Amino acid sequence: MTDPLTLRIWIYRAYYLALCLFILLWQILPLGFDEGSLPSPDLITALTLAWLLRHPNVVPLGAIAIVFLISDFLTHAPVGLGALLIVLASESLRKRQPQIENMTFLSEFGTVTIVILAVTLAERVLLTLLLADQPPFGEVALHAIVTIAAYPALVVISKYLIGLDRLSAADPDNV
Amino acid sequence: MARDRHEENLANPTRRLLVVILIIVLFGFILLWRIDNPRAERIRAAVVDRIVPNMEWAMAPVTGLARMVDDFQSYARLYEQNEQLRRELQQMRAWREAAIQLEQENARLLDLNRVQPDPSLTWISGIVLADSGSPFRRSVLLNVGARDGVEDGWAAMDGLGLVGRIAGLGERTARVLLLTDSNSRVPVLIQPSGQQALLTGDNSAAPLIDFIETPEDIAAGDRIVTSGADGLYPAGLLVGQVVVDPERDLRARLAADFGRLNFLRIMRNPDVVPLNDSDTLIGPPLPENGGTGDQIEADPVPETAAAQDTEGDGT
Repeated sequence: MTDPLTLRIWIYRAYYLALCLFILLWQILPLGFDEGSLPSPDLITALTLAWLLRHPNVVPLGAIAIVFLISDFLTHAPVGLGALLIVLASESLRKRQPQIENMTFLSEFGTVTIVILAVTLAERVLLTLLLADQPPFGEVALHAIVTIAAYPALVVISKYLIGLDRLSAADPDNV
Repeated sequence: MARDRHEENLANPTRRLLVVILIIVLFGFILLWRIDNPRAERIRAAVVDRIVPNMEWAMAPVTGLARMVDDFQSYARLYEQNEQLRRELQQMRAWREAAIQLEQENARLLDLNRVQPDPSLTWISGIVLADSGSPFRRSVLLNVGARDGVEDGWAAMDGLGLVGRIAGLGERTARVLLLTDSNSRVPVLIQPSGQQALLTGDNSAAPLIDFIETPEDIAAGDRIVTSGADGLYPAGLLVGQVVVDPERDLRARLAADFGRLNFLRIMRNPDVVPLNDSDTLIGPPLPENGGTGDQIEADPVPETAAAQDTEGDGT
């Protein structure tokens, strides 16, 4: 009875939750801290943005909020801060969906860069306003840059391994 | 057509309302975290408590596998390591001889003085389940918690040196804030000059040694032990050795093996007052009436002091 399109969307939603859980658990595995080298990228943010720009229905608002709230809890981050900022960012991207559909990859990459930098900066500003302790600016900036650099790799993986590609103008019913 | 449906969907007033409610709830979480931090941390501990032990079946094999790969890499240098171990063994034999003699002497002296070792310094062992998962925080999660008798503020060691202290306690899990975390401050004593200093974590592998009176008296290689001045860490736990970094700052090379934290000992310390209210401090109780007018006048202070007294009587 189920429409095959709806089924596909639900499968991808399950995929999204499972992948995020997997990344989170991988991050907290006790394998020692990477001292001195580059920080590991924030894969969940990159994955969420990549899938949001490709297929917004696959990453519903509720899933984003749950994933990032759990991430905040598990990684000892300020509770709710990461979730709030990503929810705001995802909503603003959703509103711009019609323009994003026709973008080249380069402009998409530019959009993602701006979003990640804006989220990082907003986090900084909010923590300053709340007079909370903050990690040094250099480390935070480096983390954001590493995350941005990981984005194209995640797009390639989503496209060729998971088969999630952008909505094309050719099949408008793909929403 | 798709576009129309899309915009219609976004403009849906129910969805808008949900978004606004979600944002308010998340903002509420942030405010709670900031204003009533102990409560937020308790909620965090409870959430972690629900998730991580239930995921152990998935995480433990992966951790084991990753460690095996690590070990395998070290097999490649087997010959080299064997030689090194032989040399170290030779040195250790000499030390062992010295240790046995000292142990006998110590036993004789203790017997002369009729000293009983402090029974309160026992420990609970825990296994590391997870680490902080964030590049900005240095903490690990242990598989023991409140039901095993662990309390907030107790010191954690690996076999050799201090690792950190318990900060965040769930029913089945406890979080250890490592010495390398940027929030970690530990009062230490530097031997043999006997100077007090503060070990300040900065997310690097070697924490900074701060607030030293005469840095000239300290040389690289001096031993660092806890001083117990904060009433939180027991005095005399081994921390590490002094090293000098290229910027001429004094840092500590930690004795515990932070690259491979697996089993930790949590040292029982009945003197630590658990942090239950948002307006009390971890550490020794404040004097009950200091005489000076500018004492902090908070209700919980006399309570904790009283609790401390009864504990003192009990021992």
